[in-house]
Amino acid sequence: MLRFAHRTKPMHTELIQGLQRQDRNALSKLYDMYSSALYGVVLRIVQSPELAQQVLQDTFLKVWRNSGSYDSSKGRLFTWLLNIARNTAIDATRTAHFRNKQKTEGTESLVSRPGNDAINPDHLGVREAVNALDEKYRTLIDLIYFKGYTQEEVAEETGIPIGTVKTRLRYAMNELRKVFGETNALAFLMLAEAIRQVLK
Amino acid sequence: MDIQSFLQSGLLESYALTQCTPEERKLVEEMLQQHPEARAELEAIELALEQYAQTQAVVPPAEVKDRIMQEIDSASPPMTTRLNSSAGRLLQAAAVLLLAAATYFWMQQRTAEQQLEASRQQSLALQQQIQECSSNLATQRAIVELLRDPKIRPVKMSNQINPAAIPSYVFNGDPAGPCKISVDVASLPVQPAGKYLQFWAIVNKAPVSIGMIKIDSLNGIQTFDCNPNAEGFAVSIEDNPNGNAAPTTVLMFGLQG
Repeated sequence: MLRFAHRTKPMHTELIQGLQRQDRNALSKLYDMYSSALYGVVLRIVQSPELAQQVLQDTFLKVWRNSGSYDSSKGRLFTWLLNIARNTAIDATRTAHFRNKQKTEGTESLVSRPGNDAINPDHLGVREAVNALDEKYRTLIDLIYFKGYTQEEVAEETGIPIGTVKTRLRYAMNELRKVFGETNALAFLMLAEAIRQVLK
Repeated sequence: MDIQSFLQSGLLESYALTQCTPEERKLVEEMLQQHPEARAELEAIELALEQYAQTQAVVPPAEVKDRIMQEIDSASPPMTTRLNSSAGRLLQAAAVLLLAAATYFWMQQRTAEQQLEASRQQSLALQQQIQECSSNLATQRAIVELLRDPKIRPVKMSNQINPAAIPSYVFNGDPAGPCKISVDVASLPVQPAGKYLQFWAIVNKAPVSIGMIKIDSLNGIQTFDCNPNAEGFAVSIEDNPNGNAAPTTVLMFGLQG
C-alpha cells in the first residue's frame, strides 16, 4: 500500500501545484482524469443529465477557485473532489423543482444504476469482483459514499437498525479493499485512463 | 489512542466517507499528522472507494468541459490579457490626450481661420475701396482732361428735383472734331430698381433722345455720340429700360453756355 501511495503522489503533486498557480492545463488534466467518475456520482444524486452537467461544471469551477484549500495530508485528491461534487449536487437537489420531481419518482431511483454511457466495468476486469460485493453492501456504499447520507439517515431510509448499518459498512469497506487491492487498483487506473482516451 | 487500535477503530473509514463528528475528525487529522501508517491506511481506503467510483463513471458531454474552460478563461484573464488591458488603458489615455490635443489645435486653427477670414474680408473691403478710389481718381483725371481740353465745352447740369444737390456736368466735344459727349455719371444720384436714366439733347427746344445712362460706379464717365445742334441737355427718370420717346420726369437740365 505504502509503495503504491508514494508512486501516485508525484503526479498529483504536480497537478495540485498547477491548480494552485491557476494553470488552466492542470484543470484540463484534472477534468480528463476525474470528470467521468464525478459525473457518475452526481448523476446518481440529481437524477437529471442537465442538472448533473451544471453541477459538474460548478464543481470544477469551485475546485479552480478553491484549489488552495486542498490539503494532501488530509486525504486523496479524488476524495476532496468527490466531496465538493457531492455537496454541490446535494445543494442542487434542494431546489423546489427537484423536490417535486423526487416526490413523484419515489425513493427507488435513489439507488439507480448509471446509464448506457457508463464506463463498462467488464473492460476493466473488475466487474465480477464488484458484483461479488453483495447488493446490500453496495447500496450502503452508494448511499453513504456517493449520496452523502449519514449512517443514521441510511437507517431511517432503509429501516435497518443503526447498529446493523455500522457493521455492514465496516464489512463493505473490507470487501471493497479486497476487490481493489494494490495490483488491481494500479491496473484499474491505467485501464480507466486508456478507456477515457479512447472515449474522448 | 495507540496507532494499532486507531487503525482498527474504523475511524479512518468514517473519515474517508465523511461520517465523522467534528471531534472524531480532529482526532483523525492529528493521527494522520503523526503516523505515516495512518496516512497509508487512509490512502488505501480512499483508493478503494475511488476505484469503486470509477466503475460507476459516466462520461459527461464534451461541452461541459468547454464551458468550464471558457468560464475560467473569462473569469481569470491570463497575464498577457492583463498586459493587453493595461496596454489598452494606455492606448485609451493616449487617445484621450490625442483628442484633447486635436481639439486644442482645431480650436486654434478655427480661431486662425476666423482671423484669416476677417482679414480676407478686410482686405477685400480695402481692395474695393482702392478700386473705387482709383476709379474715382480715373474719373477725376478724365474730367480734368476734359476740362483742360479747349475743344470741350462743359455744360453744368442742375438737379431739377433737388436743387441743392451737387450739379453734374456734361462735356460736349468740339463740333469740328470727332464729336463725342461725356456724362459725369458718378455724380448722378443712384436710381431705385425699375427706374432708368435717359439722356436727352435739346434741339429746337424739344428733347431728342441720345441714349440710356448706365449707372456704374466703376465707370465714372459715359461717352455718347454728340448732337452738334444741341442747345442743352437733360437727364430724365424713366420706367422703361430702353427709354421713352418723351421724358417722363426731368432729373437734370442744363443749357449750353
